[in-house]
Amino acid sequence: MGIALTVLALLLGIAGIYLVSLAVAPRPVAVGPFLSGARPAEHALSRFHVRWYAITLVFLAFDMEMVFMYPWALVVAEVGPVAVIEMFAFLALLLVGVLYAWREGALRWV
Amino acid sequence: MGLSAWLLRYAAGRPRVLVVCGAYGTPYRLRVEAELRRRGWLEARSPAEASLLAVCGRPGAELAAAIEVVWADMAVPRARV
Repeated sequence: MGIALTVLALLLGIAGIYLVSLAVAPRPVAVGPFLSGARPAEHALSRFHVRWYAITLVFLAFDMEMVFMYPWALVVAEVGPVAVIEMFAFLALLLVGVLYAWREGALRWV
Repeated sequence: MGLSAWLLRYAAGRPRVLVVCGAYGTPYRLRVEAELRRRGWLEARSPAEASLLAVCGRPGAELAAAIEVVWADMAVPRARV
């Protein structure tokens, strides 16, 4: 009985505080980003075509592949054909990734 | 101690001006820009940092609507010329 009364009093208190804040809180100001007097015509996430996001991620993945190729390019001349074979094996594995992205439509532009 | 008031007066004496040019407004815009250079005031790049809105010439219907949006985006204290 005492617990129920305590819980009820707590809930009423919280509801009362919410009502007071609804009455007293200032209204949000209707400003927006500066578009030379226009308001945004689309959702903020729709502002750029999704192709940019997909290409960004694909670029990042293959940029990490390029990170491995830069030092390889410096030493491949003195290491010889073994290094060439190994790097082409690495590139063949990454080519599988390229084919996957291609089939999934990540490289589609329109 | 009057520091806030002093800072407000200092800022109010050097407002950033947002210049809008409508039809036949080029001579007025040039005079406004010369006056800004003479006083050492800067141009605002957006309504959020502007304190003064200077409308040169005669804005058409579309430009007038855009000016109202920009005026609403400007924070007080602000003035319109």
